[in-house]
Amino acid sequence: MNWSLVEIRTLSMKAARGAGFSWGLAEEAGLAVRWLQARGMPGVQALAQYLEQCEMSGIDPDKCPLQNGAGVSDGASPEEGELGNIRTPLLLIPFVAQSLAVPSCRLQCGDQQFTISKDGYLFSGSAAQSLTAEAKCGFIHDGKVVPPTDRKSRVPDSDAVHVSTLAKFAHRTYAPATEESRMAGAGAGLSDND
Amino acid sequence: MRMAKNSHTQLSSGYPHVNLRPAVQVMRLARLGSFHQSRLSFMRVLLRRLKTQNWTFDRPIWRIDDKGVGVATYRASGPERSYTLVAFAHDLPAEKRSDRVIADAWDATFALFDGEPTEEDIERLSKNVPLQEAGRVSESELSLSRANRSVRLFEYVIDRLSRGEQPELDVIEPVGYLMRTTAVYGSGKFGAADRDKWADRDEFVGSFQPELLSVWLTRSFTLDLVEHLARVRAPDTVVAMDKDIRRRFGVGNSTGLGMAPFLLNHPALIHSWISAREIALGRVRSQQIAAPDAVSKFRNLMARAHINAMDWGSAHPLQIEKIEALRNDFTLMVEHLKGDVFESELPWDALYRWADRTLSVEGQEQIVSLMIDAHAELVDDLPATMQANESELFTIDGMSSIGNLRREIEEHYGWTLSADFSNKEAIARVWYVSEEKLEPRLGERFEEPIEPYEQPLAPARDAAAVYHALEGWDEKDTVAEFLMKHPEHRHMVRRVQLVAFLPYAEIQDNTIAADMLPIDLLRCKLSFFGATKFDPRSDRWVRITMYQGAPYPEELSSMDPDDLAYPPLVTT
Repeated sequence: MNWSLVEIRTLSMKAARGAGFSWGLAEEAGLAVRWLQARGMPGVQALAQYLEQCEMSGIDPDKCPLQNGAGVSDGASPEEGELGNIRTPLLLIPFVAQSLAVPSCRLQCGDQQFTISKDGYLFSGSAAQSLTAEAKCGFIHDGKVVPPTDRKSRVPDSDAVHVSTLAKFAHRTYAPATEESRMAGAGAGLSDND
Repeated sequence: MRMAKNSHTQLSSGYPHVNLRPAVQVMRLARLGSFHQSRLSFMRVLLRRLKTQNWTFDRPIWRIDDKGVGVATYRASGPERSYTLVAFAHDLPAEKRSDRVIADAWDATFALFDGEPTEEDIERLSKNVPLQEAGRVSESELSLSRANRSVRLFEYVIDRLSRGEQPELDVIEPVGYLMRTTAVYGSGKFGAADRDKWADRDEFVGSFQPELLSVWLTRSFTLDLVEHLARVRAPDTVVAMDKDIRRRFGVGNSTGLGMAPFLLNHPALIHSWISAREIALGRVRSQQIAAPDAVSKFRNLMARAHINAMDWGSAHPLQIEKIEALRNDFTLMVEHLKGDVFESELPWDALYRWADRTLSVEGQEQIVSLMIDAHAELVDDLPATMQANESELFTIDGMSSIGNLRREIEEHYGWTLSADFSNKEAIARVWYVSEEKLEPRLGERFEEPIEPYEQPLAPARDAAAVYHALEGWDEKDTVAEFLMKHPEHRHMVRRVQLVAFLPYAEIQDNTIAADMLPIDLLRCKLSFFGATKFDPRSDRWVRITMYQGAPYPEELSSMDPDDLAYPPLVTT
């Protein structure tokens, strides 16, 4: 089993909403996961990890990669500077990439370092290392050339367990079915078998 | 996704005489719910392109047994690529036949394959496509769909043909199809290929082209199936269906609330559709004189649209009223056009203004479509603009000032600021998604426990809420600062900024009001598809006919699909 990026983007948005984020940030979460997965990075796993963190210890806006990422994208954060402690900082990368006004920048997350361009990033560590649970983050502009990352069009079966985690959160956005809603809510009633 | 300001007006440069209709006039639900198909409609765009590019069609596989069960494939071959509809025909007990999205079995199920499927592909699809939402397709498939037989016509046509008789037009016309699709999924749904995979292919420029190719090929399958079953029943007496009668069958479609949120969830795309139609109208209205061939085309199409209006049946009180008004409008149009209306300066503009003063909204929008259809050369570049890349989000301009944001809301959502959203009637409804098959539904806020599940589909209320939340903020403060404090308004701020660039992106009505009619949303979208015979079955689901009158694949090279979009002047 594998998934289209559209499916994963929609699922991620619903999952973030189900975990308690605003619709606007949930939209950003969907896009961030899509951006990472399209470049072969573990976006689904990152969001699943982050939403579980929120489940365990609540949403902390100061440490939130979605809120802070959106802040970077909006220009509310300084172009170069400290973001403080951020949970699952991998999720920051798409926001930084999309708001870049220079060829690239370096994002420091604890002892990990990502070089980010508009269309990709360089990271010398493993996928597991990229999924740091929480780290002090900051970024500085850089002139380093980052080759465009190869694109992926699917989310592979190996992500199934993380997709399930997102589906668990997404499920919270669905209203329980009742016979009343089945009839009135969907507007049935007339025979549709003619 | 960042945008250039005024992208919609740039499209209309060179046509300076008549201003485009403003969004505040066009984007009302009552008007959107009165739109008619035109040559900008996606089915017609598709057939025109397949014809121009000399596509060819065949049926490589027909393995349907005497009970009408099995698999068939329909192949479309173009200059660079081919596509194959894989159709599975099932033996469905009558009691299981339901158009509702909660159904779990259908008379026929389909997938549009990207290329030519191997036997292994067909085997894989046979295990998944019949299950629809409960199965999975792959990146090799562009759409997934299903259809049910018309109880009124399917058996009737088999019976007539098997006895050597043609079906009668007055029995066919009120229904217009042998099968109706109940969902056509594309763009990455249930594992299908993402739009990104095929969006840059010449044959799919515009919107919903793979899905509508699948429906057009499905139409051939439904006719082949009844002829096959008639032959099985009475091989000695059976006749093939007369070609002119055959063409009177389209494919039905039954559409419920699932489609309604689409117009709200895809604002940039909706702008591209409406904007193209308004630019087309603006170009026609800006003609200094009426070209004789355009006038004769208009008169011909008007007479045929009149026939369509006379044949258009509905059991729904609101639609009956609208059809009656439309028929009356045609009487007025016929009378008006007896005069020398095309002799004045800007004659099409004068005709539009007359319609605006005189006709019902249903009639006004009918005349808009007819005016567009009479001017192919003026409008045929526009369908290529009727698409939007939505793989990225519209990027919020966080450095914009609170003063700007206030002014944008006042300009584009001004009417919401005087609305009273504490009034129960104004917020009576809730859009939500049911856990049952993830179906979008509309509920009653004050009668059902559904508010916690509300979807963000109430831009009118939410725009007013942003505006009120801005109280106390300084003009020079930034949107970014506001959103750091108020992430709950992020989705609406994004929308306000987008609408400032794309004015036709937003519906200028309250989508959660007690008196809101979801069928208006459905009608708008379906008219852009090219649907006809819009027949609401309640205020929230609707039957339509697609491709009625259109050529079949084997007829495309010798017929004009646009001409056939209206019923013939003389029927047999």
